[in-house]
Amino acid sequence: MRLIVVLMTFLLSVGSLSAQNFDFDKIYSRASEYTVAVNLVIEVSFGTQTTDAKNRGIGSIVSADGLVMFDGTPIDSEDPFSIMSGMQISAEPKSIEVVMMDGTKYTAEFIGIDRFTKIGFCRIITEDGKKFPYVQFKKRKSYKIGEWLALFTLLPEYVSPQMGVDIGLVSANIMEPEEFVLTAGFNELEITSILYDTLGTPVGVLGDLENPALSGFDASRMMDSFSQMEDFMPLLGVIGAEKLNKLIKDPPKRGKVDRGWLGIYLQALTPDIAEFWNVDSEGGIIVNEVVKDSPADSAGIITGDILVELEGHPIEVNKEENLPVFQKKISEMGAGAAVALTVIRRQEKGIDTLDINVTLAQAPISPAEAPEYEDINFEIKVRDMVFADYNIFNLDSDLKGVVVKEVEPGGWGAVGGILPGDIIQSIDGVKTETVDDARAALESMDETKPEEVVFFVWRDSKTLFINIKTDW
Amino acid sequence: MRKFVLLILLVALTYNFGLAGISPLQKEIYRARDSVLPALVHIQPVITDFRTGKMRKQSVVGSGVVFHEDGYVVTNYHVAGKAERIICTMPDKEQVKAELIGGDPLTDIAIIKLDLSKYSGKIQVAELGDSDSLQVGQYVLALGSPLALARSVSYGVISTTDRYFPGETRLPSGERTGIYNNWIQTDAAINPGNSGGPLVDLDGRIVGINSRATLFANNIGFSIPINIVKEVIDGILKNGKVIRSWIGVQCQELQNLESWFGTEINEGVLISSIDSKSPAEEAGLQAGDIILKMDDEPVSARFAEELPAFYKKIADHPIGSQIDLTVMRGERTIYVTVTTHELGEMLGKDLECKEWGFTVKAITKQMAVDNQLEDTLGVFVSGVKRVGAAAEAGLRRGDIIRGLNELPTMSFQEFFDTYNQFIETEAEKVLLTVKRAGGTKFVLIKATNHKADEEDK
Repeated sequence: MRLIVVLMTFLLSVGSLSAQNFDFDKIYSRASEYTVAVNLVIEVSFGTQTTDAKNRGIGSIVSADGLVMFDGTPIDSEDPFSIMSGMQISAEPKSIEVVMMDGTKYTAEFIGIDRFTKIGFCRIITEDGKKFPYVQFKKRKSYKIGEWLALFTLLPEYVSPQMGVDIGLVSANIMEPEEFVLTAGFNELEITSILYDTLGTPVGVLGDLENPALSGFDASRMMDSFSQMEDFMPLLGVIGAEKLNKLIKDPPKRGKVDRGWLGIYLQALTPDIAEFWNVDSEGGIIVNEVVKDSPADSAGIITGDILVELEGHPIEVNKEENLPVFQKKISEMGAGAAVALTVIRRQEKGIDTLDINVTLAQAPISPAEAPEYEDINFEIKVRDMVFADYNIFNLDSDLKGVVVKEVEPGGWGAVGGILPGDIIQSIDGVKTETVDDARAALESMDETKPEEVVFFVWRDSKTLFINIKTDW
Repeated sequence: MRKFVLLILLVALTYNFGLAGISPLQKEIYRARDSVLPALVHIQPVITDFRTGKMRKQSVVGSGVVFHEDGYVVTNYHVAGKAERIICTMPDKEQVKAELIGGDPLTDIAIIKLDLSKYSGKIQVAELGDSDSLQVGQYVLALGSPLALARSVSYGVISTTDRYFPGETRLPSGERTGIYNNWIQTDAAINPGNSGGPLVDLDGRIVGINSRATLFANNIGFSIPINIVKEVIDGILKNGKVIRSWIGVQCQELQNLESWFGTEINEGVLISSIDSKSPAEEAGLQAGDIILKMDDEPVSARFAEELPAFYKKIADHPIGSQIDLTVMRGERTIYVTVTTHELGEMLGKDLECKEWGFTVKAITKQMAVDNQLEDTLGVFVSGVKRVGAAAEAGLRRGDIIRGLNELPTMSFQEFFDTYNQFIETEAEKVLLTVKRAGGTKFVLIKATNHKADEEDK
């Protein structure tokens, strides 16, 4: 008996010994060469207020020519919260500064953000074709629960050195809604920090499991989740080498994203509803509405259909929280992809099973991606209307105009009473269906300099005339 | 001699204690007070609220004034318009019950009737005056029982007779208000509980019904002009409600836009917005049209203050009548005839679906216009209880229930009947077809969940 206890103690101490087994000296000296601090200046507008915000986060150099990856969440303008709340965070940082651990500072050029991992990319601008030391991620097949991982956390600017070690462990191998290696012991500020295993191998970066409450297109759901705080618990874990190497090889470019799109509004087939309808399926997607002339519409999918198989694999979505997994799959397949769907159609005489092939289209652009025009005389920024505008505000498709994105406080637009969110339908009687129309109308005024300009705008489901008396 | 001394004494006493020495203004105030205060009642209604997914009773207080010897009292809609039960305290502190006769949220006026069968006192009636002859600067009294039972008089002047509130004003119960009238503004103090109390001129006639104050501002109170109130009283006593015509135009003041539209000063009313599926849309009116004449009479709204009177002119037409409009559209003058519809209720009636834990509202024509709905079918979910079968199923406030168990879209009454049938038959599962931003959703209510909850309690 006593022997067993001794043996146990011995085994346990080996376990904890291995936790201390990181060769931090070695890891630190390597990491300090390619770990950087990334200082972003971001333009943030709320209502009529626009301010510049600064953000400092950890980043890593991932290629010899100075490609840097960092946490792109602060500049992620596709965040449905920003779309809903009207707090528009501009899609691009105004400037990026990359600071090496030895204090050397570089200016970097923004490249883009990966829509799914929210990892941002920028490239250090050098004149002499300087080569940088960079991190190389190694693929790991599997992780043991309880296995230790370490990362470097960025310390406040007023301390030196700027890097400190943090350790955590693998807490679960999550299977649903998607495979994800969950960690314990790390925090949200450490997102995008490189994770090292006990051998000191960089295996990936810290990321979070996409939170269904914060994703998807269902805006009304957003408002509800304020009361459900548990939805906001971030699940942090490993974004693996495979995914990262793919991103590093071909970093996402701004304003050019390839996202596949079906054109349906969807709902999960829960076991309850499946039972109620006598549908024999583990899960599926209920089609609530089909967007007119969308790929789904052209392929003959109708409201009420249930999608049960995608490319021959069952769609195992059986709760609302898992919808983003399906949306993501479709999105990642990209425009032009031919997708085979098995569809259950409930009819009065019984249930039909159909095979339907759909060719995905390019997903409609988001408000942040929409072309925009900034007028210097009225100090307003307008953008084209996008699919989401019609969708969120339930607008009539006849309504055409440009959306006011920003109104500079103290400018003529602000004084005249133009508000962010207004949809300008015409300027001095000239229809403005696109930013090009708006640009043409406003730029011609720069020459004619009329004493007053009348904007016809849509606001809160009503229209009104706004007269701005200007002073050129 | 003795008589003489007595006389002197009497004169001296009168001089000191009687009325002889009071200023004329003070006398007038007393007189005005005495003609209205005996008709002032303190109102304590219990109102219902459906916004939390449950019918909640709430006790509120306000003031009112008796204007008819049969016991009719005028007060605010936001005091008594949603009352389930009303208790009034009379000037002699005796309590009597009252019933709601009718209310008009658009002017924030409600009429209640005192049950005088058990009242031992004698009822006093106050006289309704004329608000059109009010002068800015004229002395007025505000009577009421602010905060609690104690009856109070405050004193001030008419600050303006034509106060307009830009934007949309809504009552606590959610109805839009103040489209058809401007307000009298006074510096006589108006506090919570003054609501529904009278504004009185020095002749002792009611010139307004006090309705709102401005938070964080001093000496600014607002009163509904009595001439507007008189029309509302007539409508409620005759029809139980105020019947108004509607054509679905939103107008905007022309000030600063005259030169752009090419109109003369004080000419025309600018249409800024047309409600969808409205008589105005049907008649082909457009935003940007300028109404020069209505029924051959020139109309104008250069300032926002003039808009309520214009809207009222439309509203005063009989339902289904034709309004002839002379309209300026760009360079042309066109003639448009619009057939009016009834404006109808702002908000529909409420229903609590207690067993499933949510509340619904009937969808009125105006709600459909406001929320850009295609029709008035279905019911509007006004609240979902945090814990209950509906919350569990994912029903949300703002959803529109269009069908039960995939039966075609239904009316409020059909929903009501079907719901009761489900409850009676103890249906275990019911599938709601729900319209929500961006599409239709299926929501499966499991009554068994709810029952389990009840047993837990």
